[in-house]
Amino acid sequence: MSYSLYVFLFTFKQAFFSVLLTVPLGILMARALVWNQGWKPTQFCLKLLGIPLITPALVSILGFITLAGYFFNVYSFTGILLAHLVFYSPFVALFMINSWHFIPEEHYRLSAQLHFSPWQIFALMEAPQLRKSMIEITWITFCLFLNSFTTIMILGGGPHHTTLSVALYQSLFFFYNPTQGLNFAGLQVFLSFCLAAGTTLFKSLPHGSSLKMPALPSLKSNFQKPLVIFSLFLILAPLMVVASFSFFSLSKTLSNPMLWHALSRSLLISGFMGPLCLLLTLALVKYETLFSKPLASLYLLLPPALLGVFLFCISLEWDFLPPEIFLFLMQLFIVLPFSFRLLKGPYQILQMTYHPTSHSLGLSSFQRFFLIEWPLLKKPLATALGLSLALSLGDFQSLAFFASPDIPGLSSLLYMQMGKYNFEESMGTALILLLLCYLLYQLPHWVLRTNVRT
Amino acid sequence: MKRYFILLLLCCSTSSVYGKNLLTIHTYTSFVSPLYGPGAQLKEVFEKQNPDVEVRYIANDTLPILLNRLRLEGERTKADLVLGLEDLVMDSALFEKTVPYASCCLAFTYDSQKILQPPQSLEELIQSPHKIILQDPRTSITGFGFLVWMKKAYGEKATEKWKTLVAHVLTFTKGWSDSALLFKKGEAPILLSYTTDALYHELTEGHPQFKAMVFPEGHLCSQIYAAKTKVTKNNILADKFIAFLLTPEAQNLIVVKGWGYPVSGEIPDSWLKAENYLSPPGAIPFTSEEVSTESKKWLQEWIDGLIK
Repeated sequence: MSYSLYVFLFTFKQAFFSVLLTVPLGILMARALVWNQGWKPTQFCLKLLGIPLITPALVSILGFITLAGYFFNVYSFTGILLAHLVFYSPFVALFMINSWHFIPEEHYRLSAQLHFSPWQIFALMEAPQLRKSMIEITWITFCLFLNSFTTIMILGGGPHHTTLSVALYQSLFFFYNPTQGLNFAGLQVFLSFCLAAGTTLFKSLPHGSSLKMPALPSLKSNFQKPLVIFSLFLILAPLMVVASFSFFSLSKTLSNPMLWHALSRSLLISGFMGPLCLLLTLALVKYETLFSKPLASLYLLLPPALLGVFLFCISLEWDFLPPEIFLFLMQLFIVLPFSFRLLKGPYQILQMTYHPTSHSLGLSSFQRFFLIEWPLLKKPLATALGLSLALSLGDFQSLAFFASPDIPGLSSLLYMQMGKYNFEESMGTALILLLLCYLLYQLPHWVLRTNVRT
Repeated sequence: MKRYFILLLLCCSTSSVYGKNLLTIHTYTSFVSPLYGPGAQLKEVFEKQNPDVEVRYIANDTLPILLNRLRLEGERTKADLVLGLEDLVMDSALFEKTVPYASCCLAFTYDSQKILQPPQSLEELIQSPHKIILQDPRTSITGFGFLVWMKKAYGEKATEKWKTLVAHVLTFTKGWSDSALLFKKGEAPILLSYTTDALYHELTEGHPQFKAMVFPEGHLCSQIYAAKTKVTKNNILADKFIAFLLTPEAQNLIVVKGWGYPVSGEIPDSWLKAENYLSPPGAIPFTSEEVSTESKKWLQEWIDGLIK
């Protein structure tokens, strides 16, 4: 068997099994959270769901190794699958909960009148309504697993566990072999395109066009409560480990002036890039064309390393452009798959419901935005902004060809400290980075007061 | 409006210094890291000696990335000099001249509290039961160095030896930093690293717990080069900087901050007094031409041997 084929099959295998584990668990988590919305632990858990997505991979892996290492050998294929499960199932839940909100309240009332069992409610009523989202999230997570790099290399380094991304990195960033690189990239694009084409085959049921948020009646299901606690554990446990490592050295971490320089640089970048990304997403959602969706999915369709090299080649052609523009573009591509999907659903429903009215009232687009769109889109906008703020803290290894900045941001500082054995100190930096991610992620919600009903 | 925008971009992208000669040096991140690395001090000293010069560093994460960037840029590169090149990844087609300014050797660092009787040779290490953290030869220069080391040490038998070794390799990480983190966390007692690694640890952390294994049959060593690009217009200045790197002051900075062995000049007292100081070990002979022509084959052998 040729090496390319081996790599191709392994990539598919790990992505396939990861999806097989992660998506069902994520859906179960989402359901448990939706069915216990009023419960205090649920509300806490809902605030944390985005955290694994924005945590630097290395930090989560360290937490995972420490915890799971007590129970089994994490440096194995099982280790890779379980790490993916822990890191991505909260994200699946986050995505699915948004779709749950589009199930009309009447459906639940009707199923209660028909004395459906909880299982029947899921199989006959919820699942058909959620089918499209389930298929979409399957595709998204599959693509994310195709691109999984740090996790696979740390837990399963070596030729046995070589994915297309590793092979691509090898031929673009280590040995100079662009042709081989393009071959590997082609294989990966082929995989993600096949699946993307598959998703379009499934027709969605018409969404209930209710915009009364929250649309769900107060559901209660005590037997699902353990799952809520489990989700909380899944998200918090790895983070607690990192926090515990850094606890005693926090004063040392904080007294390092580099930390504060890095912090201010990270804040500056995220403060600029986050809102700008959101604006562009909004424009893409509002003026939707044929290209909006492929553009929004670019980061999932193309391997990030290829995207990075592509951007670098553009920067060579147009060398008058400052490199920050490419950093911004990369970040936009990373944020778009999430923010575009967060905003698209609500915006479409809003158009369907209010477009005729606002048209007949002769509202200007300015008036329409402030009177109709803003109050109703506030919540998804806040989530999208929070995500883009937090995601811009990461360092983008796919932009490796661009020069590293003179002052490192927090994630680069973390790497530098690790590289010089400052284990405790680097964990302190990781903790600060995590806290900052969480604050930035929640900040828009606090400022826009999205918890107040509109 | 568009015109102003382009003007603004131009202002952002062009140099802020006028009237000074700019020397652009491409290097890798840890050379110029604000936490360590001799880059910042070298720049300071050189600029003090030559007030009409500004040194500008452009850093990429690793040496191979840096070289590939130069290959992509071709004639458009702004680089006058490249610092940090090693024999393992030398590409003489890109440079007009290369001058070694330091050297380094790979070695296995081990935790002396966990391993009381360390392996005394590469063979003993391969046959030992201890878990080892390696770096992947396809993504990391230290990992690649070890691939060459194994090949040069065992030739045709390298694949067999790899199979024995891999049974107690914990994992192959992407880069050295990742594996250093795992090592420090205590995931395995042995790490593929440099000979000066244990010394670094002793001098900065104050205790000599981590030590380097010395193998009498030799280690994989590499010269570290400064290289002048073929397209540079700053010939004289570039030569001046290369000459500067060989002065005692610069050599001392390279040794103390960069943890390499000097090519000329003295080993500092602090090193000689330390328990973990290793004088440069015997080097396994290899040439960079041989590595660049054979590496593809060796890598494929490694992959095929281990997959089966």
